[in-house]
Amino acid sequence: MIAVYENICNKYPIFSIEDALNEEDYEGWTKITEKLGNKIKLVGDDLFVTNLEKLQTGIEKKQANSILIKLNQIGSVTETLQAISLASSNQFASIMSHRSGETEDSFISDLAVASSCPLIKTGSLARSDRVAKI
Amino acid sequence: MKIQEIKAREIFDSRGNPTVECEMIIEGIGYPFRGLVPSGASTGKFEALELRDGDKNRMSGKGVLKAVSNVNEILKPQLISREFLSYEEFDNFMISLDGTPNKSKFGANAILSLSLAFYKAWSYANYGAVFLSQGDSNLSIPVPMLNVINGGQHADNEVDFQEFMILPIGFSSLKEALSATHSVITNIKKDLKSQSLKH
Repeated sequence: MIAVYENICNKYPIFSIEDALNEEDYEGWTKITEKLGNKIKLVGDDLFVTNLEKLQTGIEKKQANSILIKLNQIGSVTETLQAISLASSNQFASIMSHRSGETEDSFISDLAVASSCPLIKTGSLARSDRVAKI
Repeated sequence: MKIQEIKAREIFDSRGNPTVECEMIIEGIGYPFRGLVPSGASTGKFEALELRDGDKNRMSGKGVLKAVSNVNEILKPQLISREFLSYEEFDNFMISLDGTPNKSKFGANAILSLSLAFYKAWSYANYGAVFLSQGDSNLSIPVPMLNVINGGQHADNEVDFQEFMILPIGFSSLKEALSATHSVITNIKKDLKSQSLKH
């Protein structure tokens, strides 16, 4: 699997890969980060689930180099901001993200700016619930 | 900050599934703050628990009336009229009332609806707006990662990768970045159409 990703990255201008491996393949994550971590952003979504402890382990074991931030994966703003802060103090990029089931609220965009997230995922130029967040 | 009133209700998300909304009124601010909870389709195994009713006779078991009632009947009486000096204090109080590692007692959707509403109120009271709420004066707009083709659990097609995103990097303004994005999306649509593939 890692070789497949390496191939794709050599062929195309890839910026990031999210959840490249299974959320419990911890050794695989360390391996892929060794191979591709200095070329692209390896983003942990299901791997970290915006969870402070999981992110801490990931930082120590060098699993991934970026984290997807989803408020409802952890369930409070406080814990979400703690995860972002832990990420940035360890040079992990935080990507604020919506969910596939969304509402008209654009709170995550404001929080992304407040907490200095360099990137945001909020769908595309379609559907008001997504466009409201751009 | 003291909470004067809380009212949660069941609303629908962008997919037409039920989710939790909570309205909160703070003493001294004559304006309600709302917390609206999103919901994922492709979810991680270790996410906090999204509490759904499981009543197959009502909205395929996806109702969130239990979570709503946890806010209105159980959490509200504990939160009203209590003094909270910060959003951390407010969230940690709810987390300790829940007492489980994955918020399974009240549901992460119940707790998050309150957390969001309170954070908005706290930001408004202390900084005037959420985007200013961390007190950082050196603010910038994050680069959007725009999802242009879906596969995996987000689509009915046979594409293995769940999302293909494009990033407008290196533009001097969001306006220019989005204008370029619009061109790329328009061309992808054209290309797919000319090959008789569906966008």
